[in-house]
Amino acid sequence: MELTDRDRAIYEWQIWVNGLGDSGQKKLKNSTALVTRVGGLGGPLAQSLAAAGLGKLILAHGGNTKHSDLNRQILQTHDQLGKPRIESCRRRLVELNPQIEIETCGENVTEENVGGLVSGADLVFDCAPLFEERLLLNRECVRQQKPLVDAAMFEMEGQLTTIIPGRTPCLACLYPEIPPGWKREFPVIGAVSATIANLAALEGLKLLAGFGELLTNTLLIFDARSMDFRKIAIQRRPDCPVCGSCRPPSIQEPS
Amino acid sequence: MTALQAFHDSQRPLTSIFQVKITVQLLGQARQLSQTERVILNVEEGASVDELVPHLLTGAPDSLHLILSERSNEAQQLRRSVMAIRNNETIEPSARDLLRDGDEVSLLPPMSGG
Repeated sequence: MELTDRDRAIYEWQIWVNGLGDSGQKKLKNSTALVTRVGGLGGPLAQSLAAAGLGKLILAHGGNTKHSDLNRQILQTHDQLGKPRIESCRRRLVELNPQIEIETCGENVTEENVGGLVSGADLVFDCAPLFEERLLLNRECVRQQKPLVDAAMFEMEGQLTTIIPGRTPCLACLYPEIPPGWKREFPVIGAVSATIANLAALEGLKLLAGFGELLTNTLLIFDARSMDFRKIAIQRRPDCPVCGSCRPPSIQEPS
Repeated sequence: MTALQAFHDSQRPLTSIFQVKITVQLLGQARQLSQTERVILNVEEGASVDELVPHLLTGAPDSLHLILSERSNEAQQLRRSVMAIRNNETIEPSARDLLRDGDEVSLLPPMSGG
């Protein structure tokens, strides 16, 4: 699909960005991203993707809105308490940008739905709190050769990397086991999760529009207490059971 | 001073030419559980990161042991899912003779979506 005059009016200020331009905006318009869990990380991430004019978002997020969501899950509202979170995600994103297409799944990632969710996307964002979900999504992205932006946080720290199967470490290279003692509930200030979320959104926009440098083979670590950002070189595990035999793909750019 | 560092200070032997000073930075969940960001250890020259772990965790709560360490052939070593970082590069925890006097090693346990 070509950009319309209305598109150019809406996205004018970002089309001015060196490297993005008309051609990058057109690529965004013709791209689809999957965001799994649309909470403290995935919510602000989806919001930034929607505002930037990504053509289609696939959102997977289970459960009903609770009081304890409201400090960070910025797509949830008080009038939504007790109702499915995914409804609020859709409503708020449509209010922000009615031009984009939004497909919703009112479940988190499972063995049953992961294949279909990933197959519809050009790019996947992993924002889930449970390692079982993240490693499942990682395995499927490697299988389908889809790029995966992995964002995570704890308390006042966050981290981010971009995974290109066969070319960079996958999540199973970084986490060869499900860490013991990990609980789904942990300390989160919404501004910290939103910071990592927006950095993840930028990674995705650069990857899809084709400009800038990506956090490939690199883990970005952010410490909000000291405002330190560090880039750590990371390597594939040759014996990784998920991506060890995976060859570098030719990245399919959206038309 | 935090309890973890105070413990290590009380255990610190006289520095000899065979010892090096390594600063361990705790990140993520390890930092929160220990309420400590940095611990200074005096260890044998040539020690690996795995060999720092028993020193680091002496006197530490069980929750910190669970996150940072595992046992292999009875030896306590760094858990596989914890990243060891020096000079902005990951290092192999079992490798000896990598650490130099004055080095800082960051230990990064896994973190997840918010």
